[in-house]
Amino acid sequence: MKSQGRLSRTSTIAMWASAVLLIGVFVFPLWVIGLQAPQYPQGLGLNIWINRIEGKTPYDLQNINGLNHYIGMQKIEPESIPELHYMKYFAMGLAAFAALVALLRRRWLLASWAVVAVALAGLGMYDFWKWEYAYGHNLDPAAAVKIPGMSFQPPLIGSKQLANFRATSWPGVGGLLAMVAVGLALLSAAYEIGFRRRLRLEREARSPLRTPVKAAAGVALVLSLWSASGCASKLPAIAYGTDVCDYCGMTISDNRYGAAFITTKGRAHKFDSVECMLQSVLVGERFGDVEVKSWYATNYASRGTLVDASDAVYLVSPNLPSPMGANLTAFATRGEAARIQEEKGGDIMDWKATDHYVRNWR
Amino acid sequence: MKRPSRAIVWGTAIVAIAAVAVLSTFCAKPMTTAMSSGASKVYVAPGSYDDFYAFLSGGFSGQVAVYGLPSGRLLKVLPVFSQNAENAYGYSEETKPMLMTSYGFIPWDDAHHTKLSQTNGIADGRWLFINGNNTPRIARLDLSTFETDEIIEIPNAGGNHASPFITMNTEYAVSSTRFSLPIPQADVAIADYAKKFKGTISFIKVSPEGKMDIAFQILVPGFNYDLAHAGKGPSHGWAFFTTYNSEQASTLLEVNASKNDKDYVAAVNWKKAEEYVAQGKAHKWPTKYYHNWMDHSTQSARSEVISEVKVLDPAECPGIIYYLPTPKSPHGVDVDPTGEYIAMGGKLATVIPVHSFTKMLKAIDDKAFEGEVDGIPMLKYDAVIAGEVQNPGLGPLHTEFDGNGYAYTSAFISSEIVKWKVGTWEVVDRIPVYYSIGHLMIPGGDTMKPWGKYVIALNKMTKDRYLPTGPELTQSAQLIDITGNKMEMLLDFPTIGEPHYAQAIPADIVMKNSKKFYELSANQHPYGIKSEAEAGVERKGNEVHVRMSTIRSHFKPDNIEGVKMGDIVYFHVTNLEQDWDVPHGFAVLGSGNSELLVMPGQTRTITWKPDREGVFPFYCTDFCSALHQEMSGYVRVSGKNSNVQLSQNSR
Repeated sequence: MKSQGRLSRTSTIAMWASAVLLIGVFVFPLWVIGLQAPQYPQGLGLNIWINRIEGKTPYDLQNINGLNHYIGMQKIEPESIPELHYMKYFAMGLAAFAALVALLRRRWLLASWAVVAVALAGLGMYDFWKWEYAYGHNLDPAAAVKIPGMSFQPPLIGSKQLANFRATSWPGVGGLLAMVAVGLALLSAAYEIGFRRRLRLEREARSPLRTPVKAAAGVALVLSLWSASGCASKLPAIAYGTDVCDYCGMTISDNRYGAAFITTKGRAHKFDSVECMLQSVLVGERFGDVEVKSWYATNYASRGTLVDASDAVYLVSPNLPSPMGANLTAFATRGEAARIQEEKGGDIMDWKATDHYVRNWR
Repeated sequence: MKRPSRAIVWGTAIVAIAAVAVLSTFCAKPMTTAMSSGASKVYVAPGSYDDFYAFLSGGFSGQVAVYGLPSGRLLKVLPVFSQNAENAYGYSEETKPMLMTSYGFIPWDDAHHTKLSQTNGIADGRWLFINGNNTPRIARLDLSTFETDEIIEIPNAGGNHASPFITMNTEYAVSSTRFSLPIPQADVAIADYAKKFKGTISFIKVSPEGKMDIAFQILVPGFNYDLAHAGKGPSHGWAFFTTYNSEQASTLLEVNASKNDKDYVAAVNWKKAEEYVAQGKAHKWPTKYYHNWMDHSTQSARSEVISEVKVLDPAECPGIIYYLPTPKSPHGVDVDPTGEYIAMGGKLATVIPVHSFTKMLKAIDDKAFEGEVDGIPMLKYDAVIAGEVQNPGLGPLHTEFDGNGYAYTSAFISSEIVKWKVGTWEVVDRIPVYYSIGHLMIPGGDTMKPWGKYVIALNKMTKDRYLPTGPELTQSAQLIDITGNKMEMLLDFPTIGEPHYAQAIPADIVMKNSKKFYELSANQHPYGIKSEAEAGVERKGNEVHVRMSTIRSHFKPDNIEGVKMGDIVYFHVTNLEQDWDVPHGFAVLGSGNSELLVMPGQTRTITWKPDREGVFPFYCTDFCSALHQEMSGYVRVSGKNSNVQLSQNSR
C-alpha cells in the first residue's frame, strides 16, 4: 500500500530539479522580443521578466515606445501591466509546490503539479498573446503612419515582418528553464506510469478513483489561490514632475492634485486633475470608449496619495483653484474636506455629483 | 541490424562533408568576385581623374562638398552659407557682404538642394545653385572658380525648402515657403494659422550672365510647400511643388498634418504668370531683402537692399496654378526625362503615385475639378493619375531616372532603393542601403539627358558602418552601379554635414572651364597692388590700412611699426603670384578673426584689433615654398599716446 502512491527516486530527483530550475525565472528573463530593421543593425529588444519588462539595453524600451508612437501603438508601461506584479507569486508557488511533491513523494501530487503547471503555462501564453493583440491592434486612429490592413502584433513565438521591422519572439533563458522544469515533471509522470504499470493495475483494482480525485483537488486548490491573489488591481502611482497628463498633455506637477483610472483591460492612465480625468472619458474624447474599472483621485490632505475616487469627497471652491481650472479638490474624508471648506468656502460634493459637475463645467 | 546502421552513419557523414564543401565553395566565390569587381569599378589610379564631379549639399554645415565619382574622393568643400575660417569666407571684408540679409549678418544656414544650371534641359556646368532653408536664400556658385558668386534673399518666406530647382534653360530658380507665415509679417496669434498664414511660391529670374532677380511671387494657401521640380520638354513652362499639412495645423504636425489621405501637388504655369506680370496684374508689395553678389573687378562682394516685390494673387490670375491630389504628405516631386510623368514620394503613402502631364492638361481643359481652395482649382485624382507603383518600399521620398526607362526611388523607412519601370509601374529590383536614405542622385538623373551609370544613396545615418567617432557620426553616400539588371553596391563614403540633394556632371564639361588663378592685371580691388613697389601703410583716423604683398617667400612690408592701441588694422593682402596652386596664407598672433587664404592674383582683407602693446608675429599659413618657414614678419603695437610713427621697413 505504501509504495503504490509513492514516487520513485528518479521522479523525486526530477522534481527537486524542477523546483530549483523554476527559481531560474527570477534570475533570467522569461521571454525575449527582438526588433531588427535596417536602421537598427544591432536591433532593439525587450526582455520580459517574471516581474518587469526591460529593454535589451537601458534605453531600448524608450526607443521602442518612441518608434511605436508613429503607428499609434500605446506606450508599453511595465508598471501598468498587472501580471508583472503577481506572476512572481505563481512562480514561487509552483517552485514550492514542486519541492513539496519531492518531499512528500506522492504520485497524486506529481500529477496535480503537472496539470497545474501546464495549465498555468497555457494561460500564461494566452495572456501574453492577448497583450500582444492589444498592443498590435489598439492603434491611435490619429497616428501618422497607417498601413491599410496591417496590424502590428508581434508573433507569439517565432518571427514576423512588421513594416520595416522583423519582430522575433522567443523564450528567454528563464522561460526555457521553466519549460525544462515542466518537461521534467511530465517525463516523471510518464515514467511513473510506465515503471509502475503493474502496481497501478493492482491499485486500480482496489481504488480506481483515488489518484484522479486527489489530483483534481490539488488543481482546484491552486486555481482558487490564483483567483484570490491575482485579480486585485494595483494602485497606480503618479510620478510628479515626470508623468504627463494623458488628457491635456501637461506635466503632472502639483502633488495636491491628480487622478488616475484603470481600465477593465488593466491599463492605468494618469491625469493632472480630476477634471481632466472625467473629461477624457466623455463621448468623443480620448478615452470616450474605454471601460473604466476603478477611479482614483489624489487626496489633497495627504499630497501625492491616490485614494478611491468614488469614495472620496470633493470641494468646489473658487478660492482653491485646481490645475485645469475647475476649482475641484478631492479629499479622502469628509472631515478633511470640511476643515478646508471652513477656510476657503465652497460646496462639498460626492463622486456622482462631481461627475455631473465636470460634465457641465465647460 | 548493426551493419546497415553503420552504413547509414558513414553515408550521412560523407554526404554532409560533401555538402559543406560544395556550399563553402559556392558561398566563397560570389563574395570574392563581388569584392574585386566592386573595387575595380571605383578604382581611380593615383594621378588619374574621376569621370564625374558630384556636388553634394552639406546640409547643416551650410556648404557644398565636391566629390569625384566613382572614387568617392572628396575634392573640395565650398563655403556657401556658413563662415569658413579655413579660407576666410565670411570673415574677410571682401566676402562678409555675401552673408548679409534683412536680418543682418547671418553666419550659417541649412543648405539643402544643389542644382546645376541647364541649357535645353541638360546640365551645362556653368553654375551650381543651392538653397538656404533657414533664412530663405538661394546661392549661385561659379563653377569656373568653385566660389559662391551670388546670394539672394527670398522675402515673404519661411523655410526655403522647395528650392532652387531651376527650369530647363535656367530661366528661373524657384522657391517656396515650407513654413507658412503671416504675409506680410505681423504679430498675430499662432492659433489663427488657418485664417492668417499664407505661403508664397517665388520665381527668381536668372539672367544669361547668372544674375538673380525675384521676378514674382504667387500668394498661396498656408500649406507646407515641400519640394519642387520644373517641367521639361512638353511640360516646360510649368513647375511642380509638393505640399503637406493641407490640414493647416500649427502644432504637433507629425500627427495633425498626417490626417488627410491626400495632400496636393501644386502645378504652376509660370509662363502664364509671366503674362499676368507683363499685363501689370502683380501687386507691388513693400518688403525688404538683400541681394549680394561678387563684383569680379574689385573681387569684393556687394549688397543691395531691395524694398519691393511683385505678388500675384491666384484668385485674380486664373490658370496660373492647379492642385493635383496626391497621397499622402508627399515629399519629392520628380519629372521624368520626357517631361510627361511626375512621380511623387508620398512619404506616408503605400504607393508611388505618378501623374501624367498630358492628362493634367486635358483635365484642366475639361474642367475636371473636384473643388477649389482660395481660387485654386483642385483637379480630380483619377483625371491626372497615370499609374501607381505598388509595393514601393516604406517611406518613399525621392525619384531619379536613368534615361533607359527606369526610375529609382529612395525609401527612407525600409532603407532601400527601389527600381521601377516607367509606364508599367512595376518594381523590377531593390537594394538595401545603409541607413535611412533621404535623397538619391543619378548623374543627370533629373534632367532630359541622364548620364546614368551610377545612383548614389544619400544616407542620414551610418550607425555601425564606419569606425565609431563618439556620439556624432558621419552621414554617408553609397555608390551603386546601375548598368546591369541588378543594382550592385560598389562603395560607401562619408560626407560633410548632412547631404540632401546632389548633382553630378561628366568631368570634362566642368574641368575645361576651371580657372587656374586670377589675373593680377584685372584686379581692381581698391586696396590691391600690382607690385611690391605699391606696398605700404596708411593711417585714416584710427584705421591703419596695410597694402601687403605676398610672393614666394616673403611679405612686403614685413616689419610694421606705429600701430597704436585702439587702432583697427586692415591687412589687405595681395598675392602677386601668377601660377597655378600657389596660394599664400596670412595670420597674426592673437587675431580674433580667421586666417586669410589668398589665391594668386587675388586681394583679401582681414581686420585685426590689437588688445595689448607689444610686437606680434604674422606668417604665411599655407606651405608655399621651400622657404615657407621664413615667410613671416612683425607688427609693433604702441601705446595710444606713443610717438612712434606709422612706418614699414624699406627692404
